[in-house]
Amino acid sequence: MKIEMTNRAAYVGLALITLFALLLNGFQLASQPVSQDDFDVALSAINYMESGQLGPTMWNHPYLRNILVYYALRMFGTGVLGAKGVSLLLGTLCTPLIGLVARRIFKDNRIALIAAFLWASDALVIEFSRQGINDIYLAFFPLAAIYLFYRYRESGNQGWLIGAGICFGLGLASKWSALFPLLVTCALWIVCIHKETDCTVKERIARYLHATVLLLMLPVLVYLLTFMPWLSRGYSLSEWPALQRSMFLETSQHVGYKPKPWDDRDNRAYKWFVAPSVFVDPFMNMDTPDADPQELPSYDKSVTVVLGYANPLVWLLVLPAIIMVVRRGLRERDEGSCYLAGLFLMSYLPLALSPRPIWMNTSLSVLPYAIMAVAWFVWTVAHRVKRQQLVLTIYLLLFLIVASPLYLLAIGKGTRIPVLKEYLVDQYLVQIKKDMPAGEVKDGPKAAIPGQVNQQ
Amino acid sequence: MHTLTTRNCFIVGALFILISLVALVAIDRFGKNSRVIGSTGIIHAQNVYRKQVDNPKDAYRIWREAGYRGRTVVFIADRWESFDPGELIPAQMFRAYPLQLYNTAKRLEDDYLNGTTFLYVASMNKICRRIVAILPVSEVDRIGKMASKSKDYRVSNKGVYVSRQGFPRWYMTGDKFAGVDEPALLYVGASYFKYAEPEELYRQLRASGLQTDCVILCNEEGKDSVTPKEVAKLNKFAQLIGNYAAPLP
Repeated sequence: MKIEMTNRAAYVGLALITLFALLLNGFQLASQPVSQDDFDVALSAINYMESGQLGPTMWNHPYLRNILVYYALRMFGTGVLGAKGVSLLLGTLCTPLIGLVARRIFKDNRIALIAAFLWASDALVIEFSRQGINDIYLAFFPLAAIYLFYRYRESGNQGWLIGAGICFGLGLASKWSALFPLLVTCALWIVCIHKETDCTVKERIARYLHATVLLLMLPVLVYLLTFMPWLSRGYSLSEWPALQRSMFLETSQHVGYKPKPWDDRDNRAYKWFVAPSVFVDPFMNMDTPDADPQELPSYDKSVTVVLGYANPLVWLLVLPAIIMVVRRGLRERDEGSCYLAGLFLMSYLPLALSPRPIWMNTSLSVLPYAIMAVAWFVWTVAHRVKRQQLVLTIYLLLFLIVASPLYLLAIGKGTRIPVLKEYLVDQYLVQIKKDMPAGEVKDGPKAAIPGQVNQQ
Repeated sequence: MHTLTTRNCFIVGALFILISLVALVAIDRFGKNSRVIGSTGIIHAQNVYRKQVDNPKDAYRIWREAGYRGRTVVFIADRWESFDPGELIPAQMFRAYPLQLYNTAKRLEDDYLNGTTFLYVASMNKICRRIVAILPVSEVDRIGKMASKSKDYRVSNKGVYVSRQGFPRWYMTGDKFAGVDEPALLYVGASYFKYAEPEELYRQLRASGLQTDCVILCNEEGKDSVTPKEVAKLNKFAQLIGNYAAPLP
């Protein structure tokens, strides 16, 4: 027997899952050592906003992150909220957004709650909600745009569509991969206009123009506006395409900013959903002021290994789920399924087919659609058996059991787990040590690292 | 549900197109208006500021004090010094909250300004936004060969274009130099005269129609390729362009 869930109950559930996400994303965040990336993100924000400069990190990606992080630093100081507050906020807000969008795509509150729950507990999502770098933006802004687009379709109030255009623009200004959901949404809207408009050619043209302006021109304008600090260096608009070209050439041929000292094989997007994959992010932080050799901690205590392991109970279901979603969309001519399949395929296929390495952080641009599909798939499969509640409960419990150790790895506590410590040290610390100036010193950071600090 | 009328769609569409066009013009003007340029003229014009300095750091300081911003630098010397800017400031091993942050441009200016880095520091501090380097043939050839390591480069019979992290740089020989489309900051290093005569460079710059507001002639003291002979030629070049002392803006 199917018991309907009221909207009120769904909203309460979504609010609770969002709180859960906030707890997971924020737990001991201030005590998580600051990575070089986190530090460079803050520096890049200052450089960009005060000098229009594009580094030191990720100069080839658009610069919304620099703007947001800079104002966060201004508002909250150079503590954890300033450096990571934006990611924490956007990462957490993705949870209700996933629920709200899934609810509109599948018209079912329970699928929406499952999707929100799977998202909130995913190790990779948690890892990037706790980092300064902007991969989580790639999930947030397109999701926010899609949600606003749905609101527009429900109400006809074009304020929502303007909001959608702005959010897509902010997505583009985070990374170019936001272009894919934007194109799919445009395609959907054009199909809708075609279907829903049965009057004159003039009316159709007017609506196409309206859609083009708000869903294409407006995002491009928003994107362009985020380059103002760069333009303040004296560049004119005619010089802007040359910068875009440079950014494109770097991004399309990117193989890493510098060689990684650790083994990092999971950089092929086609593997993500067919084999267990991990995003590896080990770093050293000699967490002692004044470079006092007596106070410097040992290597073992200075290393943090952040591992974003894909939960196999979700990630390995993605491709079957998408096949089912496509099948449903085609068979039932279901708009939501077709839209979701389009969002996933358009976002994922360019990455899967890319000849250059694509690290797992980029999967955050695909993951929202993958997780919505999995949530629907799990719900549909459970629905086919007699004891669907039990099956669903068992699945979610198993998911949580797997997610728990992955959570510790995602927040950098892996080396604190006795069983894992030796493995992680062997796997990553040894490789990092080899790459450091003190690499040849067997256990000697106390002798070597202070010298490096003093050079500054 | 779509409640907009055809008329509304046209109005909103047209309005946003208009807003976008106005925004494009405003953005372009914002960029161009960010440039700070002094009194300009051809290289021997009386209103152009000229100064002969001992080393590139002095050139940088003059540009800085004058408040030049967003400019094209025409850099003339015997070679293009290569270095990895990412290696200038060592990675910070101690990182704890509150983060001890800094503006990289300011820090480079304070701690890492020298004869090799001065153009990079000038670019970081908004003084210049692009560089045109006039170099001897052998140096342009060398850069042309090195350019293929960059992802954004073009080599033609006019010279070599290489962008570093979106920062545009052109390398060419004096005879290929056809001026730039705006007043430039001109820097002439004595080392260039190891390979060229002052009259030749003067003629090439005049022929290019180069407009400038600031000419810095640098003795490049301490540079291995500079001898008193090159400095004497630089002095000759100074005489050719005239010894007027126009004030800085």
